[in-house]
Amino acid sequence: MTRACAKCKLCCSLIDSLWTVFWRSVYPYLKPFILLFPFCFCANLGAQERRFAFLSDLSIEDLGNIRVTSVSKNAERLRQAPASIYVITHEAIRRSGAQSLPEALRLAPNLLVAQISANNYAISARGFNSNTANKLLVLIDGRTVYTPLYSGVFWDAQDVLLQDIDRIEVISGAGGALWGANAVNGVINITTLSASKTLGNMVFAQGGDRGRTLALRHGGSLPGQNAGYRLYGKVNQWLASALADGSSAEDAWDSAQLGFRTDWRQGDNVFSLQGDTYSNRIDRLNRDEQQNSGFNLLTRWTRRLAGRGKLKVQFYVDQVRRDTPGTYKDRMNTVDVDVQHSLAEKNGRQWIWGGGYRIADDHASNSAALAFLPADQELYWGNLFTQYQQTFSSKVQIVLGAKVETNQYTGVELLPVAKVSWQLSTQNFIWLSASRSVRAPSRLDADLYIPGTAPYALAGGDDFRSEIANTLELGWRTSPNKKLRYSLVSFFSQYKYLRSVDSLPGGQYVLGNQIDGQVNGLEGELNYQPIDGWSLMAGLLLLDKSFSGGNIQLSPQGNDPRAQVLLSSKWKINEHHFLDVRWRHVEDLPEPAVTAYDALDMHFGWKLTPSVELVVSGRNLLDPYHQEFASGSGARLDNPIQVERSLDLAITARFK
Amino acid sequence: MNRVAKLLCSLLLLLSGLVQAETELSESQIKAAYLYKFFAYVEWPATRRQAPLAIGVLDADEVAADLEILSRELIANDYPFQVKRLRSDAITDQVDILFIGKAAMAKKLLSSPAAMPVLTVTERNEGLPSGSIINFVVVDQRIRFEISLTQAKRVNLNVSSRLLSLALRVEREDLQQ
Repeated sequence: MTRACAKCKLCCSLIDSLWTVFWRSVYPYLKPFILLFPFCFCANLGAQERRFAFLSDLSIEDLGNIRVTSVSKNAERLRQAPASIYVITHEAIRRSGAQSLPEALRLAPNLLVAQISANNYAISARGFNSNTANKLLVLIDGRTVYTPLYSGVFWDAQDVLLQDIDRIEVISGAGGALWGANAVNGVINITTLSASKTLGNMVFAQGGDRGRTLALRHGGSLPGQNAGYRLYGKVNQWLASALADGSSAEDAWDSAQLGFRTDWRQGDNVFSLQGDTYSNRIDRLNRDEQQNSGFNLLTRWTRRLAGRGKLKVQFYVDQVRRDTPGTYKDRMNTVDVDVQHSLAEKNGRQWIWGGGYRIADDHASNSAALAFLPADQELYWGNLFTQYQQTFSSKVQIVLGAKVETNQYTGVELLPVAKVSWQLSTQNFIWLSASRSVRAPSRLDADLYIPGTAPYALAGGDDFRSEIANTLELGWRTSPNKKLRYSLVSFFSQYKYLRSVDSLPGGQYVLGNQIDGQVNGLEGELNYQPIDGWSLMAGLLLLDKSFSGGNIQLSPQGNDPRAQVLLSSKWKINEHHFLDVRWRHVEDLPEPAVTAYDALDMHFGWKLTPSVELVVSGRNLLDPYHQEFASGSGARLDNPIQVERSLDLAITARFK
Repeated sequence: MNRVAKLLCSLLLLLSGLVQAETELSESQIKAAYLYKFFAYVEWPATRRQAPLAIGVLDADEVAADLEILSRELIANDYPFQVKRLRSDAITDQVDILFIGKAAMAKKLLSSPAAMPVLTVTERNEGLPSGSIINFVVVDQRIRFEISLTQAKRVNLNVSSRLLSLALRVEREDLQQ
């Protein structure tokens, strides 16, 4: 099929499918909007948005008596973001006693997080969760951490000093145009605090049923404006998990990580330099241990320009070494440069453009079990993007964006996005967005051969093309009063060319793109603060998946629940104590079957002195153990790994 | 759509019907109103330039934006004013009132020679010692301010006693307050 024909067909089939989709699956999800929409207006009938100019009529005494809402700039920006976004704050991470990044990610209601083993997690957004979940883009301080080996994340290699995280933005939905290929179902953007905000020394120790952690951080300021540095070291020792029959899964593991960060400011310019290096060892049942290591170095320059303009240039190098004896060994070196330029805002118009180039040099050492062929491969990705944003006086905003990406497997890919949002009143915000996102091929899709030597049962994927997701999203965010806030996001995603295992006439298999899918769902979030110091959150995720084409039995598209509910209560008892309770319910996983489970976590915090804080956490309190995930075939399906009830104590001490 | 979702939706329906809208005012809106009003509470020296009030803003986009809105919506009785967004701390560019945002580094500005009678206003956590004449503080979710008469005297500005009486704290050379 020629390229021009393909584009035309894509357009027509997109419109066609959207129409069918609308009648078949959209209506049930639109019902909440249709029912609730009139009430947005009712709450504001006759009330005009009041201009605050009346303040000039008040006396100075009166001004001093008005109570203000302290909505941070970030919170303000989020309330008007036309996207399903959840921010895990620094404070939330501290209170959750999370010991690792995946555990911190459990706080986001729009993420599916399932623990597979002591070191392995299945994390995804909007479905397709598996131990090789590949539809999520994850960034740590602007550095991409999903691996080009299979487009997924090695969660055991992504450690961060959790105490120095500024925020984790979890955006579910296609993020193609602004973020790039692989941001098919969502983006997790982890940012750490700038060095000038982490001054002083910190010692962190955590111990309990899951393992032990010890971390040290030293931060200081450097001569000059807003200049600082920090150095940190962290060691973790994780205990083995248990199998269903009570025996050990023998998956204990150790890891160590060292890192630094320095930032300094000169007028309108901010410079950053940061790097980390890590190494870990993971035990395996009846097999040699896995050994992984890596390092990265990143530098960034941000310059503030006139009228809210900004220029950002970033460069990093990254090395990842993985060694799984008997399966594969790999060394991947990556170099990446990125530029992003936001032009000055003028009359409600803003242009952002940017581009980047990444090269990865992959060296795979193959085994008898499987091989990446060719063993040495150079991978590259180039991208150019632009985004145009226009705000109209009636608080309507449109965003149009497009990214053009190239990679050496499939050449040029186009990722467009169009959004329209409407701030109906100070309380209500709605948006509609349509986007096309792409998962570019990884080495696993194109170069994987099983077994490691000919004759091959699985012979790569020569013609593997990018997976495509066309998503339509309708969202509504409302805040009837200062204490209550909730949002509902309905999404309809049409997937094409999903990875399939295809059989060839000779009995051989190759990887192809024969599967199409439709995933519709709803993400809901509610925040209620009945009194000062006590807040409640409820999160809901509903998924409805259907697939066609190809051999679905051989090519499972993730193992996802139909629904997931999160409820949390955060209570600040007084200046020195807090008590947080979190409950989650995850519905059955279909194939392989995993029973639905409920889990309850409780965290009690105690500030012994202004510089020493204790957090006692109890996790999975309802059952002594439960299973959270299963994938693949045969892999211990009869005696699966369990997630156990656990207790741990974390102490943070800060001092000059 | 399953039962859980239906239940949640009906709950939301009920809630949205019951609650009233409330106008929320932000910190920057109140500060913008204050800045505008301060002009009338200060005795400017005779050497002040003959020009409409100019309020300069350094590093505080929200306050600048709110001041701009205010300047457009004033009714005829009030005195008109101009808002100038300053780029760096090197120029004071003919302003009468200068508001310096939290993030700005303005040591130079605040120690400028007495030739320019500028009412400097800051919003610093550490309070007045930064060298400004008025400093905003947030007390119990309300915006209040403290005044430094020492700084005012240094640039030949007289602050009206009315404003002094409304300040949370007044810093004088002679009396340690």
